[in-house]
Amino acid sequence: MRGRLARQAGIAATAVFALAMISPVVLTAAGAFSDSEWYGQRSEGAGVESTGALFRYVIEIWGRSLLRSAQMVGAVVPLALILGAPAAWAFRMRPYPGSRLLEAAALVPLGVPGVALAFSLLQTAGGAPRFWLLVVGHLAYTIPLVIKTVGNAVDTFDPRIEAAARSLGAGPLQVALRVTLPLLVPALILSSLLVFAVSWGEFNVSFLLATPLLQTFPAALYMTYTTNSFPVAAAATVIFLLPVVPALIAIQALGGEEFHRGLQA
Amino acid sequence: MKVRGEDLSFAYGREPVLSGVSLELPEGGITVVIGPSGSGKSTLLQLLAGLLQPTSGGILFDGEDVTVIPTERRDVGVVFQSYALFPHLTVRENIAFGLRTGRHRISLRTSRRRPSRHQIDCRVWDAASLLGLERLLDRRPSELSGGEQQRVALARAVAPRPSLLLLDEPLSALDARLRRAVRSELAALLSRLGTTVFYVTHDQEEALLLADHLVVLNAGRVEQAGPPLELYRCPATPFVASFLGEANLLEASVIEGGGRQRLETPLGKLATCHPGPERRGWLLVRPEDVIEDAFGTPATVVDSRGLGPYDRVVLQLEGGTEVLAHFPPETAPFPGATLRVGVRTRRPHFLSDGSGSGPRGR
Repeated sequence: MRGRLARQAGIAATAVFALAMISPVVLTAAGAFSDSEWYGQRSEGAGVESTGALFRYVIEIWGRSLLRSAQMVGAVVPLALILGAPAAWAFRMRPYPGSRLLEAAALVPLGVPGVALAFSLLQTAGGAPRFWLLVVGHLAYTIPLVIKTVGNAVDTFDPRIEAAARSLGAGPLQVALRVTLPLLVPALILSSLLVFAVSWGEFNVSFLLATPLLQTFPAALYMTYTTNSFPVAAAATVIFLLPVVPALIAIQALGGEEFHRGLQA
Repeated sequence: MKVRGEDLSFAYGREPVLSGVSLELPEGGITVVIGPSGSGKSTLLQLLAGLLQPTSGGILFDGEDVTVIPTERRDVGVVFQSYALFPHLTVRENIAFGLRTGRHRISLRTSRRRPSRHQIDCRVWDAASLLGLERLLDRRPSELSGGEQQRVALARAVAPRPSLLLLDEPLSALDARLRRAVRSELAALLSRLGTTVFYVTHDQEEALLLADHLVVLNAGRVEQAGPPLELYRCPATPFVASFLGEANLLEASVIEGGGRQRLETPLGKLATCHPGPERRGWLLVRPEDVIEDAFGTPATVVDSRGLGPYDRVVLQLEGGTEVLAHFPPETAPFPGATLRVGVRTRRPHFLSDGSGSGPRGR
């Protein structure tokens, strides 16, 4: 009896939580497809009559930011993996004096406000190209995710697994290609999705380091909400969400047993 | 393959793990290394495997110095305590792993050529049928029981036909009943393979059952090495005596009388032919060698527990010394009973005092 009650309470709590999380997004997105008064008028100087025209309009004014965001993600995802994954592997498989401390230090940026990070980046390397400054800012927030995700996957390894491969005649390269990497593939996919989601949606650093020519989509989204009408902002939000939702669903799907076992060779 | 370790030492930082260990593994025989945890036996295995480099000393395979040769180029197979199977590969792929890596072996006996796909299939099948794994070839390690995983680890190690097979407590992850069954299977299998085997364990029954050559390791040093029964019957040190099976170590002194040497012990005066110069030491009496003897030493039964095949009886001798005895169940006395006991063996084993640090707990 009690078990059933607890179960029902759990379902109810999950439903309320999901509703609270999802309904603002749904309402915002609905704004892009509706022209009821409640959502405000669809007049933006230029004639925006239909939903299709609305999206065309958004792409027209924010297309450049969209491209910038795509470039950012394109640079940040591989860089975060290349820098984070080997570090995570070394921290667990080849610990050295001070490696624990270094791993803890690598997580510090997660707790630093974006404003502080952006200004310290400007202070130290203000002359550097803005795009790469932004990339560094994003890496500070995403490498910790890679280190944690890959590190947890390495922890599930048998500590002797690489020794076993070597005893069977595999050299260092073969061990990496035939054992370590295949076992890490699920964690690498998971962390690249996480990095993608975080980098795509990152606002603080992007907004503060943005120049008129270099504005990522979330920063543009902010501008839209402050200057354009709600339907335009809503349409921009829908465009923003398009790649994120599949990524988040994939992250959820990857949490299962497959992830822990490693991909099939 | 003939394997020799010469004066091997190893240290983690300043912590010595092995100090000056020399040993020789008989070709085609099973060498078992036994010792308490922390004695360095696993480290010794990793030195022979090439997974660790000795801080000093050398390793010879068939007379060839392989001390600095990395694992992947030594002609060895290793079975790890945790098995370390590849979770992303099937049983078939696990067994085939060592056949596909194309190792450059230093041994001249094995071909340097990579085997063909057909040869690999045949070898995998051979190893699988040797260990009864034919039906499990397409499973993954996570779908196997502990005993099955153990067999896959062994099949994977023997499939490339290494000249030296190293096993690091391969049965310790199994429960007691399964371990006993697997133990005798393993003994049969290892002698059928005919490979030189180096086997690490802390289980003395396993050691006596499997070993052709037994090495007792203690605190990073070889305490004694030799045929297992010799070590059991005539241990060189009190440590070996009490580590291999249960032992009573009774204070003994050599006395001369009538041109003969005799041992003065709490169990009475015993004949001996101890040739050494030492006058004081320990008499080793195994519990199964304590017998009722009408002319023996008076004793009181302190405790008696039936274990099935025998009763484990604790006796207090006249004079206060406690002695452990194994009596057949039907003749075992009850606690409180008094009786006279003696020693069965005609030539009791005497350990001189200079041979070690004294007896340890059983």
